[in-house]
Amino acid sequence: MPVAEIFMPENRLGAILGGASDPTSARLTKAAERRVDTLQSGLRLHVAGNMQIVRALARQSDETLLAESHALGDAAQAICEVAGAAGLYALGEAARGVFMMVAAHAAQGIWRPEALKVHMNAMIMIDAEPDPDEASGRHAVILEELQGLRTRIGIAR
Amino acid sequence: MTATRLNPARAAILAVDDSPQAMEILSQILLGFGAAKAAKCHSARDAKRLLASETFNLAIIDDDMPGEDGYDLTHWVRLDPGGRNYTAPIIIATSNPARSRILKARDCGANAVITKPIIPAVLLQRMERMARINRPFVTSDTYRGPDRRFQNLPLPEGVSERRMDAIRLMEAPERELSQDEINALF
Repeated sequence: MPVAEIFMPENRLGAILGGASDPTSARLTKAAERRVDTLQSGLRLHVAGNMQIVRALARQSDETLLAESHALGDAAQAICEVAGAAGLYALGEAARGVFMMVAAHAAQGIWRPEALKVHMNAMIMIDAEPDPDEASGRHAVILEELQGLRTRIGIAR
Repeated sequence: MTATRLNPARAAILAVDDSPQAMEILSQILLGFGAAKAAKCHSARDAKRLLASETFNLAIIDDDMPGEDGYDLTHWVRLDPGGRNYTAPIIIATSNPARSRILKARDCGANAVITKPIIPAVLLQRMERMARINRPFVTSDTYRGPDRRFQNLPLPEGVSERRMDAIRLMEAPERELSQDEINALF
């Protein structure tokens, strides 16, 4: 029978709990958000470069898509891990759907090119909107539909 | 949360991510938190060197890196009970919140998982929670990490029992988890 040792270690993060002279978490959060905002133009360039890969693959056959699934997964991952921070939330979430579907193929053998292409075309459509804030209502509907599609193939929440 | 006062500048933080863009986002967040002295590594191999020689109050590790990934690195930190960072809090950052990967992070001994892109408020909330809650640490043949037996969450409002169809859906390994669902697993 396995033996477990259970002990109470020092709480190493306890040191960050502050006193009256320390900043509030709201102030720290705002300061961090302002700093992330300064990265937006560079992050958007990074997203645009990876969107070129998505656009090119969206026009390919299902066989080519399968052969290039690593490249597609890498591009989708690169987009989803920064797009939200660049003010491109909907594009990032659609890209996350692509990344998770490609990962599900590698892990579970679930390969659904038609669902992938729907997601890729949704990404292209979202990316074409000149003002993501103005289009947020439409984007919410698109994301809901994509999530419904992923649910049907066992991937979405 | 807004009235809480914190000083992350007092913590030695290690950030590990192979993506320059994701690392830049995390670096700026940590700078905004006042943690100007955070150490940065772009691979698990470099991180191992630092973890072996320096003591950290927190490590934030990307899950998906070429070669040794974030799960391997977390597992390595938890291997040696005499290691400087054996019980250090570890947050895994992931772009793929599939249930199977969240459970893998938990089984490696991570203290929390957050989704990328990292959102300042989410990271700070997790840091504050870890700072406030003293969790026992388990060392056994099959698991080394924070004791997970401390959450006893009630059923969601309006739900009187867990239905088998809902349980089956919840347990699908590739199902995407929300940040709240991820938090509930740690």
